[in-house]
Amino acid sequence: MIGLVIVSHSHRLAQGVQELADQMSTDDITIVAAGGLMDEHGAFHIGTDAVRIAQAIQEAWSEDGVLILLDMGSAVLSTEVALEMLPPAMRERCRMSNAPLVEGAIVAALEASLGRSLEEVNQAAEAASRLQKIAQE
Amino acid sequence: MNADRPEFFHQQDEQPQGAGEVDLAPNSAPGSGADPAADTTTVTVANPLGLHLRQGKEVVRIANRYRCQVMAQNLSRDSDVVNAKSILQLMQLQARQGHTLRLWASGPDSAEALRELKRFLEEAPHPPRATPE
Repeated sequence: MIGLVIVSHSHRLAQGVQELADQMSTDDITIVAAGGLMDEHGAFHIGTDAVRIAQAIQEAWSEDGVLILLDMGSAVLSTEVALEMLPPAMRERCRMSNAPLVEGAIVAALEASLGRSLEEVNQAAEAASRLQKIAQE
Repeated sequence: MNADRPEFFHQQDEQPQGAGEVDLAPNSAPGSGADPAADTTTVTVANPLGLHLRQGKEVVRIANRYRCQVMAQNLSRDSDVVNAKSILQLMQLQARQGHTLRLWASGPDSAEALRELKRFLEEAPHPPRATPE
């Protein structure tokens, strides 16, 4: 069973996406939110934090791998830095997903709970970018 | 296997018997997309919230317990035929309470799969729960 990490510029958005993804999943899938940037007073601001992301990957760690879903921009840069902080053996079992954050997390959580591999879960999540949301009448 | 639609088949561990040449594409014309030799049934969506995300999750979970391929179409919307093992495709049915779905299954355990899915979709739902917290 792979683990999932949710990276967003917003602490609350990452938590909300995690909450939604947890609903689609089972207890044996670990989904960890890593959103926002904490100041010295413990308050969260908009931003991403490579150290927190690296910690989240370790919390979500599974030998089967960890899929990282992110919003955009510096979320990607911070995640790259976070991956460089990890031991190479761990880093090579992590994937950054190109999936849209919300839909991708929903799909990834369900697919992961069905026991799919890291690559399979990522493929299913990335397919969410082609999702037609509104029924065509 | 159709290389244009990798996501459609990615969950299939193996091709069901006899379905190798059959076009089960999600975008084909309604009614023409499923294996003519497949088992089929219709169900009426009982849940007042329709086939919502969490109920869809259970449908995907049930369908994935079986080896057969499971397809679904929302007849009330004249929708595409979709793969019921994929949550993304299932959500495209946009099924509301009272809508009629046609399900197809082809493979060794297709009859059991259809029975269980029909029972699940037609059973009286539990009252909607608020998200805990």
